[in-house]
Amino acid sequence: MELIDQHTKKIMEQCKKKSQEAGLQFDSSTLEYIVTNRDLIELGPKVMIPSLYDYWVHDLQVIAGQKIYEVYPNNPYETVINTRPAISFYNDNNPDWLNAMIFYHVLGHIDFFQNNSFFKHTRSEDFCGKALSDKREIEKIRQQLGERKRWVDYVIEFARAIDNLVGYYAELKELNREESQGSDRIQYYFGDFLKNIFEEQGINHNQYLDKVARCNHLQKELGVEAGEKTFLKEVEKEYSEFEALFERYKREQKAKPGDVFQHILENSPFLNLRQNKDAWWMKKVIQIIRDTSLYFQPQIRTKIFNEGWASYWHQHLFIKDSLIEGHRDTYAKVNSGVMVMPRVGLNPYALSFKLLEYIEESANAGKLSLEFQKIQGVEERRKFDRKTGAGKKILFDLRRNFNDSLLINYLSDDDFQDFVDRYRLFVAGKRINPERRTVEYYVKSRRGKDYRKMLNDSLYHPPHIIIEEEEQQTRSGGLYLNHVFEGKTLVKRFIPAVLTGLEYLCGGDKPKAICLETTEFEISEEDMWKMAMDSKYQPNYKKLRVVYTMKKKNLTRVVVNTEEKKK
Amino acid sequence: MPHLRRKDDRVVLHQTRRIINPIAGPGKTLIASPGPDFFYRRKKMTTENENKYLTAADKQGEGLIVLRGAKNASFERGIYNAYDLIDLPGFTPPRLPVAMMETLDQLRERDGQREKDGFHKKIKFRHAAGKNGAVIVVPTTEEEQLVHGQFEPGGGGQGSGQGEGEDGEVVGEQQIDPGEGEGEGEDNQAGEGGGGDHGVGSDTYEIGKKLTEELKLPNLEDKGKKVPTDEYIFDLTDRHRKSGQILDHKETMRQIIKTNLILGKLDRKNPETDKFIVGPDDKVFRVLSREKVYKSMAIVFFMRDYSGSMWGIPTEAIIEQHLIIYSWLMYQNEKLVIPRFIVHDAEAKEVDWNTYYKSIIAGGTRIASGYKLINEIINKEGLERDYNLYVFQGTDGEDWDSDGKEPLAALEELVPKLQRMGASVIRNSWNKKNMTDFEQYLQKSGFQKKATKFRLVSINADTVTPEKNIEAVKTLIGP
Repeated sequence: MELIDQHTKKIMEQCKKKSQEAGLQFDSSTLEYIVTNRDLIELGPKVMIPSLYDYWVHDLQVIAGQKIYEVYPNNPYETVINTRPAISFYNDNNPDWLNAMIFYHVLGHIDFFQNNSFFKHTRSEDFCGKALSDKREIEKIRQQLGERKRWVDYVIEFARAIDNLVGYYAELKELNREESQGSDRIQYYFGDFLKNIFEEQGINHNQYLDKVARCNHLQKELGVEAGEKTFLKEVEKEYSEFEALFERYKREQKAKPGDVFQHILENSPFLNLRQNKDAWWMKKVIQIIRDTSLYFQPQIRTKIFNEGWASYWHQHLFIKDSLIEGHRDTYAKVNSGVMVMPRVGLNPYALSFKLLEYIEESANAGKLSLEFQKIQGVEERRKFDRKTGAGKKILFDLRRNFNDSLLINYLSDDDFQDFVDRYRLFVAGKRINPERRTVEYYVKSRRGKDYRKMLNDSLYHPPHIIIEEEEQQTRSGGLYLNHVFEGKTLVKRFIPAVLTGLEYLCGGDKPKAICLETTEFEISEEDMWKMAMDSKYQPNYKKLRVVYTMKKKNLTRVVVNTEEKKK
Repeated sequence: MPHLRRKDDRVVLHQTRRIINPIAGPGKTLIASPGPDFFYRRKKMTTENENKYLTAADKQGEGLIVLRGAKNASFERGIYNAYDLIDLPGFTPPRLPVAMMETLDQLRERDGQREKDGFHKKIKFRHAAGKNGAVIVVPTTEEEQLVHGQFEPGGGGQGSGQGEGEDGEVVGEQQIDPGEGEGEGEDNQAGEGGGGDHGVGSDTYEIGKKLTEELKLPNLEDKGKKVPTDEYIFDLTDRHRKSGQILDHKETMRQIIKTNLILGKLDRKNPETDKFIVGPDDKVFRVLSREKVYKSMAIVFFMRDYSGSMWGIPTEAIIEQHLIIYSWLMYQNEKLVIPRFIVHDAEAKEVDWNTYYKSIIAGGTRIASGYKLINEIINKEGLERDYNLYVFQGTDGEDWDSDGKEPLAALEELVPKLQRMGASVIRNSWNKKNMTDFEQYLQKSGFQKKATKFRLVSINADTVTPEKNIEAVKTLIGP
């Protein structure tokens, strides 16, 4: 691993200047490294962070990677990590023009990392440095434990088993709360309070808007603080219980741990036992795993947008760069290789790039407006052009505020249908043709709604798991996790190991029951048989609500609720 | 600044300490800290050199990160830095927190320790197919989490597409059996027939050897019939009178007695050997001669069910078992093993390695079809005379011929020709019966008791582990 040479660095600096002129924003200092395939195999398991803590699973993955590489060699690619300064890794021996193209792409990524709101919590410090300090902390603990150091790895393992359940959005909410306007009371009033009133008494939408208008009016007339005070007085007149409810809300908010990690850190009898001499380092390790996980959370949720954004900029900026001269045809070939939309299958980067261009174009024509949305006629819609030129601004707004899910669901149904039609996208179905002994792919739907649903279904979404405090006291004594069923069941074979780990973290040598409530589907043997014979057969699914209980490393499963379902 | 010992690791220690000093900037600190020769170099430091040092520091897993992480290196609290005590006699400094990769052996040791600590083992070894029939062993592990599976009632099986086409129109298709197709299948076969086979054999041989030793797989005692090969060795098997390399004492003695009997020198009641006369022709010598080598050649048929019900774990488990058996046979038979691959659903066919390894699901199941095909191949090619034949079969136990008439008849014909037949049944997780069709008709017929060369193992798909696969293999090939 070595830094790029001065000549190449110069190209990077020129690319930076041009990108900044085009509106991208990023720290001026960056580090670029040349890496070999071997380096990449070693960096891969550490999610490209060279200073990530040591963990044996990473070592095993490196060994496996090397073995697989011997049989199936593959070439590395450019990778950027969200650190300060941003570090990017490159393949050796690229010609200058290709480097310039890659640099523009990389700068697109860096701009995204450093401006998108979903990365807000990663900006206060350099992760590479933080990771190094964490790595040392863990190494130091290992040294102190001596012979018993393998227990550090057990704690890492058990903490990693729940690190996808980290309260990422709760963390972001906290960060954003500090920034948002208005006092806690105003926040509470327009947030949870009115929502509860709405649910209980059913006030309508207009009433809600009236209140917002009233508050704004008072603040405008009397100044922000005085206006707020007056408004709150009016609220108390209407709802005398407001103040008391607000106090209770505040208490609850404080008491409520954000995620399973925090719950364990605060409530685990084992980790909070005074006699437990290991508690101090266990807590530290759990905290490190949690922080590390939090850092990685936004990446997977913005991957499509981020790649589309980087592709958008490398295309727009590189075409204008003088380095393209003499290489236009090769560039076209390289670029189309990256940006191709396959006949069957999804290239999320190309899709997001096309979507961004489509949004820009619509915004330039003023189509992202109520006026346009009301138009029904196909021809009218096509011809509509207000020449607002607001495209770039909208794109930058989206880049600041959107993740993949928001981006995909941004356009109205009609607009998205136009997008799907424009690029002739369709939902591809898959079926077995027994006569021809083939798997067939066919056009299942060209409806924008179906296409969008297919995209939404394939987005990253970890299970939503709630800690049920009441159940915990009555039924488990340890931890009661409630998996909110959102259409997909959990992978069964992972459940025992995760619960074993939680049992250790919560109970140590005196284990308390760890419960997991989730949904499963059961299917009769006969139906399964029929399904194997006939791919079109629709079996009866029995929907079950089950509770897994882990106690003393013993797993039991109890069905608590049953529901038949013909699909 | 304390005196610096010239041991390499100590230099690094000081270097590190200085670098993480938050006040000093990057670059400079690196040069300034570690000792006189560095001071000398400082004068000559060019950008290029500086880069080199930075890179050198990176290679220790430190420099690049340390430079940026200065403010975070908060663990060095108190008056003293962690390494200040380094100059006290007898003080060993703490080990540097640099990346130290564990070797595979260390990882395996760790895995063994897990069981003692009361947790399940986590490292698995997958036998994967490389190119042209090579077997590679890849260690893997799974990090368990609560994650969504793919299953969703009524959903699934869709993706994105782009381009022209009416609703319902087929826009692409994929051959279920790649071996039959025109494209890839042909390539595979060409690849297999071509060079490279030798190297592959030796890899697989090594793996077989290792497996036999590590897993304590049985050694094949009766290797069955042997056939002459093209190889020769020289051995002292021929005899020659009067002259030669080594005197054959027993034979010479016999000759002497014969001679003396004829001469009447031997009194049967009271033999006096010192009166014997030894003629020159009596001496018999052993001489070197060229001998043809006889070896046992094996053909192993791997047969597996790839019908609709075999998707997922059952197939993986069977492939894994078959790869182990193949490696083991390669070792036992000193590479003289020819593998043949048969897949069947309701019909059977012979395929190449890649197809066998990769093939995906098709229709129903008729186990008899596979047996019949193997019988046919053996008879047609006259394999029984020259080769030791093995058949290893993998199935989920489901069979359309649930009475077992046809498959049993085919088995009766097949098994006597074989050295060993091993059948693995991986029971599907949704199979709530204790016994599958296959197991049932086998038991009913009492075939297993009659046929000593036949072995059967069953595993439930839910409970497949690498250990169980190995146990299964041991049963299949065991004495």
